[in-house]
Amino acid sequence: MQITTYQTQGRVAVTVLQPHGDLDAHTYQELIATAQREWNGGARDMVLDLGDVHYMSSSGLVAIHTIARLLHGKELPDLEAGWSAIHAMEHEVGEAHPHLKLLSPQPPVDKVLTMTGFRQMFEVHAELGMAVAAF
Amino acid sequence: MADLFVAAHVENLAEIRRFVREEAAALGAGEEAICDLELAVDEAACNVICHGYEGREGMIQVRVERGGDRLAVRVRDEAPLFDPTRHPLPDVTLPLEERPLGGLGLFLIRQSVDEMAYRVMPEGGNELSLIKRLEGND
Repeated sequence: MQITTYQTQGRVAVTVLQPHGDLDAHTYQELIATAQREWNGGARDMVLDLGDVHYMSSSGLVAIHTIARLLHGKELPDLEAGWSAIHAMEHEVGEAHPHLKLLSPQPPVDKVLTMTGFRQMFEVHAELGMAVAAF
Repeated sequence: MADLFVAAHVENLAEIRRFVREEAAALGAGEEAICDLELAVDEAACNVICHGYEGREGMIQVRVERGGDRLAVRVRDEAPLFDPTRHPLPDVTLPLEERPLGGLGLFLIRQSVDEMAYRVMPEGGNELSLIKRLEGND
């Protein structure tokens, strides 16, 4: 999976992760690894641009959750844990994650986010400027 | 009626989705139904690969059939017998942090199709049928 990363500046420095292609059990760990590299390089606030992801399975949800935990400075969860990974989400339901925003999910991806309650846990923006300004 | 046979590797999930998309479209499914079936078959195949075969070599067979207004995707494998229709349904009325462990893929399958049916094949092995009712302009 090709993943573009770049930095942009709002009130804080924001790293944008832009995966290209399907986010499934074959590719999701590449997204986690990219986020981990950016974290190791000092990135602390991220936008996950889903505009070029036309398919996402539960593995993509696990990737999003894992990146969310990374940005909270928490240990990474067991990637096979399913609901238990979501279970471990440490911030309150209804309160958006302070360090990870989602951008431009395509309709099938947005449907998965909605079905599983991820839209309650993350701010979802249609424009990069709004996502960056939200930090 | 075409069948897809692929090795049980996550690298082949995209090929399974492509096959289901093409077959479902040829059988008259609309885009929303196709997306739902793609998600359901991906999660079902992923469960077979990751939890059925558990890394061992094996095959997955996929077939798409239409009967009246119902489209069925049948996923067959030779992993140890497992009936996912008997897996308890998560209580989605609970807050996320209180939902039971496991079953995220099965939850998405149940959300995406109208019916799931399981049988043990006469020659052994699992068959999971993912059934979607086609409506409106499907």
